[in-house]
Amino acid sequence: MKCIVHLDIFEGPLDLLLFLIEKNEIEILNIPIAEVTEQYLRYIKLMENLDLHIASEYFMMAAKLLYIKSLMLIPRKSIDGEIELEGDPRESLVRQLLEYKKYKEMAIRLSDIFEEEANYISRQESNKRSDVPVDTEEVELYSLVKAFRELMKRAQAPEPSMDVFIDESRILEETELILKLITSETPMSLERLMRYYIHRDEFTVWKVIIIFISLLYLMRDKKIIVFQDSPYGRIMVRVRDGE
Amino acid sequence: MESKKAIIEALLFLSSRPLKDEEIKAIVGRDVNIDILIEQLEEEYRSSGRAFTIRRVANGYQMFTRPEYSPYIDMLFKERRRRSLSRAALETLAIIAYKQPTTKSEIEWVRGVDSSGVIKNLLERGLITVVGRSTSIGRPLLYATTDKFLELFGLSDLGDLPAIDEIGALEEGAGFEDEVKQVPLEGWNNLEERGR
Repeated sequence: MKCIVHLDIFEGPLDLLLFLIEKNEIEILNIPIAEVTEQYLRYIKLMENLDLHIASEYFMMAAKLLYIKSLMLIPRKSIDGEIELEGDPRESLVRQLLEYKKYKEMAIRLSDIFEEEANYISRQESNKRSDVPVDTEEVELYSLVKAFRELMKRAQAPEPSMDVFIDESRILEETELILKLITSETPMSLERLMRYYIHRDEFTVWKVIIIFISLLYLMRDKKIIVFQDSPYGRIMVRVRDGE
Repeated sequence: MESKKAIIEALLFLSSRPLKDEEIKAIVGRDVNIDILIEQLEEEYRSSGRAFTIRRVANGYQMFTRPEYSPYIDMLFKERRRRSLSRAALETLAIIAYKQPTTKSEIEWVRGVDSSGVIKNLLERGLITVVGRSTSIGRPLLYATTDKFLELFGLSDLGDLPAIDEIGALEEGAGFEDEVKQVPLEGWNNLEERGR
């Protein structure tokens, strides 16, 4: 059986190249292309042998390296002294490497800042840390269904019909609206969410079905969290933290 | 009468986000020099050994507990909810932070890899946002960092980012500049184009 392992050792071909350059203590402005290309290809081969997932960018870079290597072999001047090839074929690559190196280092700096910053705690964050009370229980699906059954009773029933067809796009629209309604940091109760629709005179059975399905979608997509503070308590909805 | 300084202290004490200068001034008065008052507060905290500090974050002021108390706070709030950032995310953020506004293709040129997923993730986490479209071909979306990015990294504004020229400037200056002014390789460019 084939086992495919995804291992993010390198962030990409440029990262691999920088690794080879550092490993061999090569001067970045004067890369021995033939040698580096050979090593680069050996790494790709190794990654292939290990069944690592290799992004297409790695192969593109391999092609680039071989291309540069071939250009390096072409004599710069023809016999009569005319310059046929201007510049260093490695230039573009070196520029890219330097640019990438710069941002790779900045990323490390940012990471350090990020780590240090974690020790400064604001009220917002302490709230976030404590916003799941110890006795909170995850809502069971049943409670949600039951709550909606209650709401369905209250909603005005439309003409009975046998065809049930709900446009997917309406649900997507609804999920977006719901997300907008509950963007605040504090959780919103299901009733309050419903009140919004009642106020707008949109509280029909169809609407309730759509809202219900939308909430399920949002739960599935991990966009919201639905919970109760106590058993049989009010059902609360809140946006799932992006952090 | 309550002092302006104490009012500011009360606001910062309770606020769950950085308060913009304008917000504070709207309450204590336009003519009040809030920077000085906050500096006084900060000095009082420091000299009396208080556990909190007021810092300039995301173009506003916010109260924090001092870093040395974070281990104790973690004991109270047991679950650390702060998610770390992947290397890919950090690289992409660094590029956007320094080059903003910037496009996906520019980010991908620097990183050398497809960055759609990372960008989407950063957008979802509210660390970057779309600020418009570039006027170049295809009118690609332009990305920039958000206030949330500044908050998460404790930066007062973008000027507070570590200076980028410290690194690589020397190397770049000593490059091919004198030898070659442009990339003369037609075939090279085609190769790149096709890869897109």
